[in-house]
Amino acid sequence: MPGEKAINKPARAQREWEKENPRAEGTVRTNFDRPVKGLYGPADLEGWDYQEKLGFPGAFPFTRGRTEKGYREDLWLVSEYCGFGDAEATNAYLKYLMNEGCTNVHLALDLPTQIGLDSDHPLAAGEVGKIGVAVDSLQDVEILFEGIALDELVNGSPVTQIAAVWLACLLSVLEKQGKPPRSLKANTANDCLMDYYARGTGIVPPEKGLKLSNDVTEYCVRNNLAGVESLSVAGYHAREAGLNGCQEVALMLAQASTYIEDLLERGLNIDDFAHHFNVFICLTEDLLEEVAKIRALRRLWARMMKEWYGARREDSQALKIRALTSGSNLTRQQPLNNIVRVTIEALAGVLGGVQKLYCSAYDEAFAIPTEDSARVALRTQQIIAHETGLRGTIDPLGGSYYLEHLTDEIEEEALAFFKKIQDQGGMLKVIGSGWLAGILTEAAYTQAHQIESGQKTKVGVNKYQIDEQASLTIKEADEEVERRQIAKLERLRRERNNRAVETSLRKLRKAAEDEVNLVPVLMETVRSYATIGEIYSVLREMWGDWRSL
Amino acid sequence: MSGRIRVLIGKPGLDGHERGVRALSLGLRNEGMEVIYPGIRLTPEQIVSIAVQEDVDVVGLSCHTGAHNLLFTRVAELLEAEGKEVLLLGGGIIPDKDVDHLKRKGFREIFGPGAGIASIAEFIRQNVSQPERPAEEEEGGR
Repeated sequence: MPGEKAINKPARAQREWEKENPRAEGTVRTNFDRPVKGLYGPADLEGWDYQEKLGFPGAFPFTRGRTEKGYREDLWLVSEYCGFGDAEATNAYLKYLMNEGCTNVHLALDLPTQIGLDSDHPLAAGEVGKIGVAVDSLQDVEILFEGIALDELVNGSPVTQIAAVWLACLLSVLEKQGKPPRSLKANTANDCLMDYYARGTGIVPPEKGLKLSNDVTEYCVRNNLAGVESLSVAGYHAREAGLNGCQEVALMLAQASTYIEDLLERGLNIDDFAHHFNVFICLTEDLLEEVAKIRALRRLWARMMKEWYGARREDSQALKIRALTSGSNLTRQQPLNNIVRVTIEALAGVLGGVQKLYCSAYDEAFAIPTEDSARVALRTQQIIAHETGLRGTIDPLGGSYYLEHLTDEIEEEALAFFKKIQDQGGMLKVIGSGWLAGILTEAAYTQAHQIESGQKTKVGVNKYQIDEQASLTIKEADEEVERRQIAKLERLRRERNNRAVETSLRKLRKAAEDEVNLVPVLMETVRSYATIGEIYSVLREMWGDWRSL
Repeated sequence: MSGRIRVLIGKPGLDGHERGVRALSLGLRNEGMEVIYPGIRLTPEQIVSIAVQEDVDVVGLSCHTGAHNLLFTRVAELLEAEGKEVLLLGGGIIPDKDVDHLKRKGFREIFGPGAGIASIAEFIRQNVSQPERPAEEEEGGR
């Protein structure tokens, strides 16, 4: 490893070498537009201190890894994002995936469910069961996990707006399975903030979304739900929406700060809740930049927790990272090439030391995965895990001159963008003012233009094109799901105790008026089989619509 | 050509993916067109109402969530009912097998992932039929 004395001679030699071998530096740029030199060496790390910058895995600042064990003992969690149609269909698919070795799932929910609408709402037309499973009430969640032990299957779901309802449903199912609440292992996503600027799935106004998100975390803290990761601060969507890796990191810090500061105002201690957090990042093909990004993120998070918020517990400082390969990076043209892309992206996650990895399927640009394409995505992880030897050593690229230089650069750029956000008053302000939307528009356009103009090569799209013959078997959407789901919903409304539903919705309204934590009352609401649409009708009525329906 | 080509970009239904439409809106403006992009989560009825109000020449719909068959078709039907003639286009994640169906419903072209802004602009210029407009038609655009 570069130590101080050892660098000086080699550093001078490098500078001599660079003088003798001049080149037009700056023609190659990182994804965050900094120049890349042809060679990095000791001169680029002068003054760099191992203990300060890296330390050892499992200890502050956690740059090299979250734990001292790495992947030797515990592989990263091999996870897949899945779900479609109705709860019955997804239940069968979950069992199929578990059979194929998947230990962990992230359940895709359809858009009406995510946006708090019942399957028979006018805006739900055409959307039911398409990009995920249709869930209208606790009844669907019960069907979803029928025959699956909720304390054994670690599950997550992109419940960024409806996490409070989802948690209440999971706890209800768990109870029916005869298990204590503390045995629940789940990831409730719950980062509502990025819905408003990157994902387009906001329901109630941002301030209220924040309140509900933090109700979930507070509930987990006060009820000792140690197995629930109550908040997954997401940078993924910002990245997919067009921002670069440094901005992705900065937004995660800014989002996290927003939740943290509100929770502190509620009287919680940072060490009460920080260990319930994780982050959700994107993995792109900029392999080395992504590895550096992951390391910079871990270091920044540790510093934020310890130095800004005074966290003392190591599990408050040691970041858990969930990573999904970039969907937008995959092409419709020559789709099998996407298997290669996903492999490179997955490698970035493994070399960076993430805790949970999801791989996209090669038919991403066409439809949700088939069983075959999902299997390839799973095998990609399994091959990396078992055939490459990468499990054997923690942070194997650590100490590389280029990687350490990149890690420092990304940290610098991320902090600069974070400061821009904080100087404007923080996330709620930059969302409300449209500043973020403006940046996203510019970024989206610039990237599209780079590919169109040939500045950036995209194999199969602007170079090495072929005459595309559409021969891919893709997953057919089940157009009958909507009809079946609506019929199920109507039957539910007839057969449930509607007086109990009315009472529970009245209690929900009162709790919202009283501004208390809504999770306890939602436990009763979901158990009365009030629908998600009915629950959110109450909340939207009281708090307003983010987008008018 | 009389005045700038007026394009409405619509996202019907619940799809919140805006990267494509944001890039396209800016790109078409750079190509000299008037672009109206009213944001996400509109009903087909709202989209058609804006198309009529803003007297657009082109309506481009974007959907990534599989709801295109229902929603795109509904927009086409409503436009016809209103007697509003436009160059109707679509994009997003649309399976090949649905493209023919949409074309039969009035969509002149469906642009999938990788379609370039310049080529979309050129297609619009080649295929739009614009009404005569007074010279100063600057208001109403976004």
